[in-house]
Amino acid sequence: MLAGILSEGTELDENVKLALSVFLAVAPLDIKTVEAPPEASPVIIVPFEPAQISSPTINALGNSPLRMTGNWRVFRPVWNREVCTKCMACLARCPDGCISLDEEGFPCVDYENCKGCLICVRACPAEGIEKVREAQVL
Amino acid sequence: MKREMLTGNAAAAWGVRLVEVDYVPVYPITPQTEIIETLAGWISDGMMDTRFVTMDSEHSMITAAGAASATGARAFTATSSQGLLYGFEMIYTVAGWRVPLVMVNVSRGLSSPITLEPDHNDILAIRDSGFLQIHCETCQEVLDSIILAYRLAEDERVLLPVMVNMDGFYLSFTREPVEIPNLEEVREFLPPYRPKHAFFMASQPMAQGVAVLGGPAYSYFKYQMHLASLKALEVYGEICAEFEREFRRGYGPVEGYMLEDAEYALVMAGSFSTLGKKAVKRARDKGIRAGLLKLRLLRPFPEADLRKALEGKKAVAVLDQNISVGKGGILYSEVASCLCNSKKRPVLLSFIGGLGGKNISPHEFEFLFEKMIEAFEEGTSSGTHLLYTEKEWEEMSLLKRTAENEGKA
Repeated sequence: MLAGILSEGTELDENVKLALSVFLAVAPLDIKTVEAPPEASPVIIVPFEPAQISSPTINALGNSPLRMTGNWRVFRPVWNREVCTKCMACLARCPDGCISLDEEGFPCVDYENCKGCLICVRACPAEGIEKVREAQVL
Repeated sequence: MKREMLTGNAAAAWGVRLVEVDYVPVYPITPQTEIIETLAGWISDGMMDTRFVTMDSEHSMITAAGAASATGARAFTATSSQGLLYGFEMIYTVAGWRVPLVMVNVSRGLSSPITLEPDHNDILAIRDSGFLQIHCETCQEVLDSIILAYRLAEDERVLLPVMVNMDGFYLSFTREPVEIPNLEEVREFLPPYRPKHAFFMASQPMAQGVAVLGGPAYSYFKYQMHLASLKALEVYGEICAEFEREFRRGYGPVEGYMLEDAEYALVMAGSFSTLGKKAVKRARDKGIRAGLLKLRLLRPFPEADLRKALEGKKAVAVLDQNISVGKGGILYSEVASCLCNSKKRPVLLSFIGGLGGKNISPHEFEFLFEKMIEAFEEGTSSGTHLLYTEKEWEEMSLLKRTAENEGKA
């Protein structure tokens, strides 16, 4: 299959040689298998528990803010404080709840979680949010 | 004939390839997707002369497959769990059309809580629909059952759709050596489908699947489905005998393992029966005359075979890998109903195990045999017992603490 993609001859040969050298660099491993002893845990009678315990619920805060999903972003929204009227339209529209207000009442964004959907850019009546590319393509 | 290491899903795809289907509408779902991926690959490479269509849902998919069947085409499709439930309406509808569609269901527990591992609540949800059901334990059984299923469904005395069932993950993704029959042999066993009752021909217009008003007409059609399903028991026996002559592998409606001289019999279905057989062997080593009956056909229900095999035993335990919430094991009720009028009725016990793919350890089987002996000595047994170990309870308690649910009430 590679032959169709790579040019004929040396390039393909070199790649195969490299792949082989990597493959051969890993020493073969002897795996010993033993039969696992049977689990001897006794069978119990499962008791009744109320739904407060027995429903599939997790009684804790969601942990998605800890996941740092901001690195998906291609464009980041950047606020222009000169133009911002503090109307909070961006804060209300952010689907991820990433926008909060700072001490002066200006919107500020959690870039660790902002996915760059740019709904705020569209929502801003003052056109005070700019989209800026995260990384330049070289 | 060749022999290859195949997963349950790949074995299913091979079965479908060998019966030379005309039409395969598909929709993906774990753990079934490998079947349709394999077929898609072969069709795209020109190894199968089949029309392959990706659909927008299981509801549309089963409609399309059934409708194709109603034109006289040989159709196939596959699904699992939530997908089967999403297409549930069409399962009953297609069965009522009396068309020989064959489907594969790769069993997976039902939401909620949502899970991926197997139990039989999905396939048993369609128990009363009119689809015949073949339950498989091995990958070879999956391949062979698909060939048998088309032969059974297309028989003029039957003409009902068939669902071939295998357990998700435990069988769908387990490789086993599988004999792949030659295409010519399969062609000989399964002649082309030439329907006399439901087909598409411009010169012979017909309306299929019409509405009825009034109970007598409705009752007539439903009861005819029931009679055809019962007829399928007889037909199944014939075609299995022929299959065995042709391919040297035999499949009864039930399979007995060390059953004949057994005093204590365990009833199971699906791939977990392998665990049951091993447990029976261990029990025999300890001097307990144990045996196992595996149900292969669940619809039609092989009552006579079951009665013959289980009458006169000291005790019979049905190990259901399903739960009818508010009643207990579904197969227990079915097995009990066909033994209740027997003069040589064994004591019956009901166990539930393997829900959502939960392992059944040797210790749990030992417990089950102990309970059987106890029940025989006491002459009775009551209630449904969930096979669940202390260790599993401890692990569950840890999960509850992590979810901050323990001690809430």
